[in-house]
Amino acid sequence: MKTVVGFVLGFVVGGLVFYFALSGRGNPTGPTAPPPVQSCNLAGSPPAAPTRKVRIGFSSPGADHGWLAAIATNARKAAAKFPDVELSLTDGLNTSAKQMADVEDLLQRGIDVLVMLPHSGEALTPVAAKVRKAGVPLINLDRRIASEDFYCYIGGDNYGIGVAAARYIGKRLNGQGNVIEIAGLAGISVTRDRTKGFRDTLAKEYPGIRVLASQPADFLAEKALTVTENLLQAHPKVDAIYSHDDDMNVGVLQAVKAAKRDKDLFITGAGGSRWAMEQIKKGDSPIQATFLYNPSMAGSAVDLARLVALHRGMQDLWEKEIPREIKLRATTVTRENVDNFLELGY
Amino acid sequence: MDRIASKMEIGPGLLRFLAELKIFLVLFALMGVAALLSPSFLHPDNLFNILLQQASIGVVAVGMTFVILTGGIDLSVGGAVALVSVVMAGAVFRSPAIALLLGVITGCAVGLVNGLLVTVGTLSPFIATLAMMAVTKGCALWYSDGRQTVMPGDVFQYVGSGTVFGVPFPVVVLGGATVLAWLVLRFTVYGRHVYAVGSNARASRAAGIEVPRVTLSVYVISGILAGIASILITGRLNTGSPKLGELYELDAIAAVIIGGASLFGGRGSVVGTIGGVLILGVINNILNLLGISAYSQHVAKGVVIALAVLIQSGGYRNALGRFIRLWR
Repeated sequence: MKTVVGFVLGFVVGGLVFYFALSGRGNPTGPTAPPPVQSCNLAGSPPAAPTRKVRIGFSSPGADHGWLAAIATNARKAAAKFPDVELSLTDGLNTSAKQMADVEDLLQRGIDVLVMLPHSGEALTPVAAKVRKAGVPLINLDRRIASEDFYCYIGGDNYGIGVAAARYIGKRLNGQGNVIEIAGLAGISVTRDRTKGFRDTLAKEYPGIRVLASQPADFLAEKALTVTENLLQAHPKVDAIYSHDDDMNVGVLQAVKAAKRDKDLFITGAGGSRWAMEQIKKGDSPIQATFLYNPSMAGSAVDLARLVALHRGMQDLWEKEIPREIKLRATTVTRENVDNFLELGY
Repeated sequence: MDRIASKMEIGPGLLRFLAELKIFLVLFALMGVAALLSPSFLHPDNLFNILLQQASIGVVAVGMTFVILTGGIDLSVGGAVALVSVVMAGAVFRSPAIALLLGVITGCAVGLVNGLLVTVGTLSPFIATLAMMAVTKGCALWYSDGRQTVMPGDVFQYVGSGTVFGVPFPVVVLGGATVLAWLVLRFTVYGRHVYAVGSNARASRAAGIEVPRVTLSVYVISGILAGIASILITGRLNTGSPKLGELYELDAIAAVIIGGASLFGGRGSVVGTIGGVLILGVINNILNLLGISAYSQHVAKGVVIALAVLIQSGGYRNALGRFIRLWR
């Protein structure tokens, strides 16, 4: 008996190890992530390269959501573009305390510019002061710190997503209809702003559109599935669904299909994931539009950091320095223009 | 061993079964309130939706019942669901059958490691499975690079959305797992050993029960059922994702406790657990139907859970007396 059990256990564990070893890591459909750029100066640096490397620190809050994973990927891609850039990337494992320590370590190691996407803007404000005192310019990415201790801020427009969604839905429904809102995680500024922009704009420009219900699904596809099923049950007449996130729409779409309502309503997302853009391109999917909040901003942040270190401005502008704030457009992506944005899909 | 098992079968079985059904009184009361609050609640489509929504968490909770009956706990079920989902998403491109098989094997392996840490490593179940929760979630993120993958082909679509004689496939699986677990726990020697280990591990050992083997087995059962639950939810979304199974461990434990089990082991039943699972489903459903605001949802959920356990356990009886004694 014991030997049989032992044999079976050995087989199971061995098989699993074998499988992992064979299949390797990574997602077969997704693009393979470029290898992490640790240091480009090891081999064959061109003689024309500047005397010293630009050392850029990049502090990310974690990578457990498709969007955040793409942030790290794009930062690496941007650094790989320039032979004179040396990128150190840290992962905050979704806690402000770990991220604070990350930043301190980066300062200790010696960097020329720091890019930081804070886990929580408020909690990481003190460490931003430390960065300023160390004389390192800070590029604040996406979530705002609560002080002025940044050299440049670059981020998306959450309020703008709500505005763009309200206008798109209002126009398509000719100002008359019922909408349900699948919100993100309750209690954070991203969710609040995406809801507020939507409500403000509907009230001002499309008072005939009624928001029947707004429920949070925490940016999780699984929860979005349940919440959408329940809301469709409660509301027999829905013309559009405004969802805060493309990743969640995987669940929203399944719920709409299962309820056989996919011909009665359309869905909008936010972010600009590859999957969402493919759905939009198909045309016959209920997912008809998304509003950009693109992780390409991480690539731009690294580009900006390099310009700061080289004391350069942006090429096509007159100024000798980069702007203090850059707010990216929450562009409406529909079937008409989706081809322009496909390459940004994450 | 058989003689001990037969000695432990005391009391009229029918009465005990009726006591297990007590939780359904709470469920029906809750459903009555829900029906009064929302006209769409009693619609058959809605009731089927609740069953469908609770299918995967229900399968996990059935496995959790085994673990809690032995006085253990399994915090790694949510991580196992996530890991199984991304492993299947990686393998489905070769063959859906291999993906399904690997899913169950992965769940089994997670349970096996839990069980070995608890029995051979003599870690407390809380610590062992907490560690495995971190490991499984981390592996799922690492393996998938944080991405969701749409499953190709029809197999997962069927698993999630297909029907058997008009009953959704996930509900059939939940029903099957429940009946099987109920039969095993009520009518087999092994089932009685599970109860015995939870009631008094030392006495069980003295009575000749292989306590470590029974303990190991319940974690393996929990792992396998977490794997099956992952197959169901991955099929429902038709997407493999490292973010599946979020907070499953807490919902599953809550369901088992609402169903009348004791966290110290030895008391509880699968039928009660299913009652608990359905109560949680009805709460979520009615809060959505009524469009209750996000912030008050958590409050409402917590209050209903506490009330359900108070009623189920009879803790409300003589509560006033105990309250007075507390201050005397």
